[in-house]
Amino acid sequence: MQVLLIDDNPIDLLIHEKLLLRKFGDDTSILKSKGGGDALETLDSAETLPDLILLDIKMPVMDGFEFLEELDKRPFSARLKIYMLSSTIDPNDLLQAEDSEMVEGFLEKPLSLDALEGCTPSSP
Amino acid sequence: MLPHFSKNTTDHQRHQEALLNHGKLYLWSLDCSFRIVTYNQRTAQYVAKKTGAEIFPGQQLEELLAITNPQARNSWMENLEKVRQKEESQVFYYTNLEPKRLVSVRASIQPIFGEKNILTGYSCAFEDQTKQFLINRLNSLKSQFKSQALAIDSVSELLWSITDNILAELYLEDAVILMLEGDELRLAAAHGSKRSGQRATTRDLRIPIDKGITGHVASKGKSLLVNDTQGDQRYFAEHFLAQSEVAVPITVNGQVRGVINCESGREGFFYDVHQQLLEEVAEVAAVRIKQIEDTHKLQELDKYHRAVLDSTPNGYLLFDIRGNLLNYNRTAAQSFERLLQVQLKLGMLAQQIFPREYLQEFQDRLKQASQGQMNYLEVKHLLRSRLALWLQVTFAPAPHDEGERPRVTLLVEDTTQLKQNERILQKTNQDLRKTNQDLDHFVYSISHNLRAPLSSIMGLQNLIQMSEDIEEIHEYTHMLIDATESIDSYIRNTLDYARNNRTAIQKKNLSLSQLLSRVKQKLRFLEGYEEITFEESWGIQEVYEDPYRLEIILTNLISNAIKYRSTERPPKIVIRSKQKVNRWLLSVQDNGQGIASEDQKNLFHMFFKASSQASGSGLGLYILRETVQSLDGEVEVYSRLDLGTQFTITLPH
Repeated sequence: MQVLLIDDNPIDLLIHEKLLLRKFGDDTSILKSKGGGDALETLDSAETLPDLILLDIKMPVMDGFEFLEELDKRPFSARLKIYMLSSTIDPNDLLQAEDSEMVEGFLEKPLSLDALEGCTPSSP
Repeated sequence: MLPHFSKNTTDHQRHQEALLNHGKLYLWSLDCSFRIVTYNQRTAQYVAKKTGAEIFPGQQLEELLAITNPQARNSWMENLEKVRQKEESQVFYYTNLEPKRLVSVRASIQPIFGEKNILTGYSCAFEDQTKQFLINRLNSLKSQFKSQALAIDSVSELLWSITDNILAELYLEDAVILMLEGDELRLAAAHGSKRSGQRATTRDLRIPIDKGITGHVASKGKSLLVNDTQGDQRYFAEHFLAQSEVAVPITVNGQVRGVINCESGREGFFYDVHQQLLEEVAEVAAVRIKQIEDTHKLQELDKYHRAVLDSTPNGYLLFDIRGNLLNYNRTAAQSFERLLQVQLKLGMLAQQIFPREYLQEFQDRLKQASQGQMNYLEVKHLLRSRLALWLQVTFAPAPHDEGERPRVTLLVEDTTQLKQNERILQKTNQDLRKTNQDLDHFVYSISHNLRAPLSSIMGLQNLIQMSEDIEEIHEYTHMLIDATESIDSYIRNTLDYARNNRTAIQKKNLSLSQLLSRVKQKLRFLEGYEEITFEESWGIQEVYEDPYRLEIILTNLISNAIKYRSTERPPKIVIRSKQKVNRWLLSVQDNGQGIASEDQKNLFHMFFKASSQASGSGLGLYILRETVQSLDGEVEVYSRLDLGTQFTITLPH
């Protein structure tokens, strides 16, 4: 089981890592990226694709949506299971996330174990 | 019948035959000494009526005529003498134009011959041609007056003209024109005793509408001739005791407006021709009064229309379908003179008015409007000053009577100001839209920027609750403090932004080095502050500026320089000021990470963050630029990646 976290906020990365370890067990492999560009590099060079991606929307340089656009150009994008997350209240962000076929769901920060309930990896 | 023959002699028989042959109305015969021999009854009555004298046989003609008037006597005596000398007939005329005695006579004298052709006397006949004379005279007066009346354009002048040209020529002692005012007839013009000057009457004569012959005529609207006033119960002595009187109403549009009244001290003075003449004069006067009043009303109306048209700031022109200028207002005249150097005149043609480049357009639109389609044309006219003048021309169909050429009104409005306002409005709208967008963006960004650290704090609290490892809890607590500081700094920035926008600029003399000390004091707890080496170089120390805003600027620049310091070399910040003509410079230079050239253009945008490392709000440089601009200054950035950055602020003195 492998999860990729993409977030510019190091505190949030830590919080999400701890929560996922609790939910999926300590043997879960957590990859962390500080931004979209960083995450693309990780994915391009990965031997196996992550089973789950938690993607923050608001990030400097390359935000969540820009990342999705770039990802779409890659053949493996269809096999990824992506949840977007944000503390945003901008309704446009929510609509845009819903419109994207690549996005499985939308999670609101702060993340909790309850919120991760319906969040399942792509392969069992 | 010839009843007064004194003797049935042969001579008398001859006289009688001669008189009968004359076949005239008034007859008499004279002997060789000019004594009356015979006469007819009618003649006796006529003489009695006109002179009051009695005619009798044997009377000297000269004696009889002496009573009447010298003109009659002289005419008769001269012509009798001619007949006596030449022994042939004479025909002669005489007219007396004195009021009371007005008379016009045609007379003839024939010699009477006895045996052996000896002159034995004279047969005389005469006709009273006064009426015929009057008819001729009145007709010529009437036609004269008709042509004169046309040239008169005031009612009062018209009445005086009737008085001078008609009434004064009728051999009357007194004649007046009275006009109706309310229930009274008032003297408007007079000939004779009631006149006191060129255009003045002696006194204010007023007659109630129901009194006397004049009043009767005024109330009935019918003319009246009374040749014996003493026998008429309607008579009422208005100004002098008249023996005969004629009065005719002046009726305009079926309403009596006044009365022309003529009076004579002689009984039976007036003929029906007087009445007819005055009736015709009254009719001409009535027509003319109506015309004058209508014209006056029209002029008044026209005056009001012009007042309205001339007082508008818009130009109006009226054309017929062929492009003839039918009317225009003052603004139109002034504008055409000013803009096209054309002096408008009625009857001008479109091609004389409009420059060639506008002519075809004008004619097309004129045609369109004449077919009932109102249309608009916008004209941009370049003035000599090279300024653009905007005109809106409305072509509207104008009412016209059947059979007349269709007409079109041109309304010319100066829309230059309107255009300018429109542009300003568009710009304002654009700005407002942008402001609204900014505001939306701002609200979402603020809420995100506040919620992001807040949600981190909540997440950390959650972790603390779940954790039992004291080391871990300690780490989370440290993170809690960072996140809280991030909220605090963000709120501070936002306040700075709001204050810059809302607070009035208050300049005063201040020292730049003191200002820097204050800023350093404020920033001393910032992470990395202790590592920094500061350098100051003051080309200008004292400035006159808003200390609060200058502090925002300096704080922003120095805190950025600290945050983005390089880890590869000892960080250094150089602060300089420089004196220039009319302005001064403040620069902050560092040897930090530098900014990539592609990021430099977005640097001052709201919420822009160039690096994912940046912990800031994305507001700092935006606030910096806004603040500098509020002081009418400029901000420039020069930066090389991995070498450092220099911000330079230019401010006016």
